[in-house]
Amino acid sequence: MIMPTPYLALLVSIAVMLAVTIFVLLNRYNDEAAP
Amino acid sequence: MINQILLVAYVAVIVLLSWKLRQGTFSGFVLSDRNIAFPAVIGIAYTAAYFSAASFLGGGGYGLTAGMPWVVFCAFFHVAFACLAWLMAGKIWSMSKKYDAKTVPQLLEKRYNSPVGKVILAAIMLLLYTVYLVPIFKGCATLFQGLIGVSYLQGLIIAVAIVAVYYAIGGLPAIIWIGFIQGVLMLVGAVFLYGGLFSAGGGMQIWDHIPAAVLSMDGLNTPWQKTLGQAFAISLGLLALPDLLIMIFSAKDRRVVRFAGIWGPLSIAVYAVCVFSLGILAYGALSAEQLAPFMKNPDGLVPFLAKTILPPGFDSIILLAAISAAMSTMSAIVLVTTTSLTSDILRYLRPEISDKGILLLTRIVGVAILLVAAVSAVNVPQQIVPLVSVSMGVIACCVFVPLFFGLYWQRGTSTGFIASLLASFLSVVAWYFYGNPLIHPVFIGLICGTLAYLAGSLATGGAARALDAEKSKAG
Repeated sequence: MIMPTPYLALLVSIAVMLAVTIFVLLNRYNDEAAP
Repeated sequence: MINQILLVAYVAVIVLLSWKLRQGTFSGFVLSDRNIAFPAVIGIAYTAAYFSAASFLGGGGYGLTAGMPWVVFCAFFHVAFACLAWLMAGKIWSMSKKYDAKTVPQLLEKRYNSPVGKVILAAIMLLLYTVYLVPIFKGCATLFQGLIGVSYLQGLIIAVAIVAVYYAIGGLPAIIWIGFIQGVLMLVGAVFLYGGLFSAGGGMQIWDHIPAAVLSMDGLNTPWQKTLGQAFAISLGLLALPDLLIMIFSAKDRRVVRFAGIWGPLSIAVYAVCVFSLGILAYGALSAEQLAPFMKNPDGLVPFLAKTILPPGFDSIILLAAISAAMSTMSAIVLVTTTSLTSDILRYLRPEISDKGILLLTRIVGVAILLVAAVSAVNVPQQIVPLVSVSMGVIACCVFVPLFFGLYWQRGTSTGFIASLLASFLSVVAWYFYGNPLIHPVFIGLICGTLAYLAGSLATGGAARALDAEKSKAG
């Protein structure tokens, strides 16, 4: 089993934040495009 | 004497500004009529409202016991969440304009068509924000003691008087403009302290003087898991605290929101890196004997640093910066707490009250809430102590889940909204008392809130769609 370490926690946090940020960026202006 | 003059000048600027910005309409008072056209003002006021005296004193000193993980996790989560918040801000602004929402509970009410959800959220905010005001008042009164040598009680009265005046006269416009000035003071104070420590520690050589155990990511006297949870829980506020979201509502147009999105995260980053590093940098600039008293009382570190490492006179600027940090947060919190009671709960119960009546009530109730919090701060009731440490996290959880899904997922329903509010609130409280202390309650609240939201929405989404389809068929 992978033991949680502070570095792993930081890495997971960065990955999650990147994923959410990309999702938000992709959905940024959809509401402006709609009539 | 200089400190008294400084304080009088500070108060004079606040009073003059709030008089200039005095408001006569409800929309002007709570929303500045969506007319603020300066991105820097909104961005820096957002930073000032977010960071309180607890961040300045507690956040600065906490690194003494938590070590390097505090600096790394705090810097990371603050910068990441501030960037994310401002990436979402354009959509939040559009939505608040589309629904003509004046408060955050109203925004969610209209998104989910759920007045009951609005009232539940407003009640949660009313309870937890009032509780949260108490320690901020306590910190602010202690700072006044240090600045002008008054008693704790007198400090408390001065704090209430200043905030009550600019809140009741100027409403949100005054809170934002004064918050901008306070934010600039806070940034100057933070940079001074950071630079002062580096110069006292011999420039970059300061890193060589810091013990390896302090710089280790495994944490010093506090386990790193606990530090991670704390850093996450406090910075989650950046994404979803109603007192910050109303600053986004008040922007004139989307261009202002877009540029405020540069000022906000930038000022958050500068302030977070400077203030949260103070605890570990102190190891490089001060001796072990000097640091010893602050191991038990880390809050005293920042005022001590201001006195010892900065040139004479600068310590008053640091104290004023810390007072500004407290006041900017208090004033924004009082506004959202009061509107949750008057505009959200009272309007729901008595829809016939006019805007003028609500405006008058919002002024009076706001001052009353300030007084209640200040009286509680005279002798902090023991029952609220556990609530304080999680109160911001609970509000952020309760707002974040429905807000995020409401913006990006069409299928959320009012059942999901209400379920997520209750699940977040109850799971945080339950975990706080009975859960594993290494895992922060806010993580649990976020997970339970999201699951409850998804389950509630999916369970009722089908029925709602069938009803819609039937309606359109019948129509």
